[in-house]
Amino acid sequence: MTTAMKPAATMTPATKVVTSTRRPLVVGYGTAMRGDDAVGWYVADLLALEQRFAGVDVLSVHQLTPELAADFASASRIVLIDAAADGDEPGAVHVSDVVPDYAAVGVFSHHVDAAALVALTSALYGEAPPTTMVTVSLDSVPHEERLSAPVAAAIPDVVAVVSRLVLEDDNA
Amino acid sequence: MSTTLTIDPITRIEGHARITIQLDDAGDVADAHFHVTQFRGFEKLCEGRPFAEMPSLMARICGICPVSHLVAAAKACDRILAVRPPKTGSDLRALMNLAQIVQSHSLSLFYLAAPDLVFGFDSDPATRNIVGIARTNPQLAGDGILLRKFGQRIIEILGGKRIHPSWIVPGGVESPLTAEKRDEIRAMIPGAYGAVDRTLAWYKANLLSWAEEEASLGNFKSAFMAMVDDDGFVTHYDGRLRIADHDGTLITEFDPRDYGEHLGEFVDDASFLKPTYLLARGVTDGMYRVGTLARVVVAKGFGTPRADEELALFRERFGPAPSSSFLYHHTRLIEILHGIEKIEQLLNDPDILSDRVISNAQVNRNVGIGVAEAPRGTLMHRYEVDDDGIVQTANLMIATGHNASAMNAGVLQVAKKYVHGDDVEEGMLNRVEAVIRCYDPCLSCSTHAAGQMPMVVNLLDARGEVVRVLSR
Repeated sequence: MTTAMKPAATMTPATKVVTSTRRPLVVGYGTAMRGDDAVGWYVADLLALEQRFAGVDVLSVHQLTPELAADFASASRIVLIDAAADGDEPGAVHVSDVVPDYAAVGVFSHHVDAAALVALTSALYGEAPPTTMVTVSLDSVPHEERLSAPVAAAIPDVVAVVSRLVLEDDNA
Repeated sequence: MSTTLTIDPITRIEGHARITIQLDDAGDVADAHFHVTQFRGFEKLCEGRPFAEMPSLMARICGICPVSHLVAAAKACDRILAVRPPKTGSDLRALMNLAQIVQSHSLSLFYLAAPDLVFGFDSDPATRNIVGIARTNPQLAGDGILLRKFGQRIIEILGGKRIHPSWIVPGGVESPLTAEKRDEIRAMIPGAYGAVDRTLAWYKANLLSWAEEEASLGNFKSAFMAMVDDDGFVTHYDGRLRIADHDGTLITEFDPRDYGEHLGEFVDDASFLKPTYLLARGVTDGMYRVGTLARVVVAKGFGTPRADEELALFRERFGPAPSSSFLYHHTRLIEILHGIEKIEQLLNDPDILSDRVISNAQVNRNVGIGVAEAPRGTLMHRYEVDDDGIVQTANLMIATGHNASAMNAGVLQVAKKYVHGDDVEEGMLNRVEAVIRCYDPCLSCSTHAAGQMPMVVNLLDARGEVVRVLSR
């Protein structure tokens, strides 16, 4: 597994705000029918089946939408899983923290960037839990429900990263 | 030399489109067209598929209003089966459609339109969005999110997922509603009322500040069409189609299955959207509007007490048949209130928990037509099948198609005010976008397009050549 921080200005270390009554939230997102773009769905489905993640809320969504802010606000920490067309070696796993960015909304319709969603959560609910983005560098996005071999091979690494983030770090 | 101005892409609507404004030799605006530049083709791709697949297949047309497609498709399939769903099956379909209307209207009003209303139509586009609202009016943004989640959660409870549920099927619905699920929905209702009440109070308090937009955004005479129940009230699930003239007088009322005798479609060579028109008036004069504004014009009322109270206030101010498309926003908000009331009424009926939710049969007819009121207006599905139930042809008439001529009229009105020769006044792009947004067009539905609708304006001369392009 390769682990790298995204250099984007919107990604900087987040402040950890965890309360004991809230549960971690994992959101896998992407287009389920476009090859590697579905990797978030695959990981989320696996997590939902594992007993050790019973105390974690897991969602699979096509895209990040503003109404997810309410789910974000009630979580102890958030992990987002997405595919990335970043030109890196297919299957490379990148981990970075997401912080609010009010300017990340862009030409807005009904979906938002992760940084904008965290900003929305902060604006509406006073604070947003620490949010981490886990991305997998994609190989291809054909019109089919199948991951490429390198991306499929990266899934155990992604699960391990998410496990560390929501199980170990939260209990630390 | 005449000139054409094109706006492409247009932001904060569902899909991709372009606007062309044609100027005449004197430099005056001669015509304006809203072009949909993406193709979906569902009418063609469903040919050769078993009719029973139509509800779940057609639901894929749209991620915002899949339930309306489910309802119209399932009703068309009911006709092919020659069955009536049990009352509870119909009520559960209606319940899910209302939930979708609440969530779709909330998306349109709070996410797409409210940034203009809160910050002004000429404010900085970088902050004119839902996050900007959250920073300046968190109550309003929070209420929008609450109402959208309210509708989405009901759909998820009933159909197993928020988007593209396949629970509505030919003959009824797949499974009955349990008391536990009913009670979960009921528990959300007080919060939804609180959110819509606060928003209505905010909207009414700010009405005067939007007087210019009310006067100039899509303010013209047209006919209106919507579905009404036996008592003349708004219905979204089943009833008769009523067409009223610009002043509210009745033109005609008919069984929705006879729509082909009253409505025609024509192909616009520059667009994948099929506009419709009133056959009796012809293509040129047959423009009509559908959706929330049309529903409040043609119907006696909503038939629920709180929404009718708000409607009475609306009519007191704007009259029984207002002509401004800007009022779609206000009527959408009142209809959210109606949707919550109606959902509550349906859940309070003990029969809603009945186990009898589906009627089974084989193919008994070769043609099925299903009509429902979708968030944006009347939605029609017509399927022709062979004796084995294989779809031979399909015809979809979508709200955005019904409103296409009215959107063109709205764009033309704005263009005439803001465009003089190749001099385009500041604010024109924003107003053109805003007038289109009044209709909350769903291009994914009407062209069979994914994604958002970003805006480009092409200015063409008399020979049709592009002399200027505006975009952002």
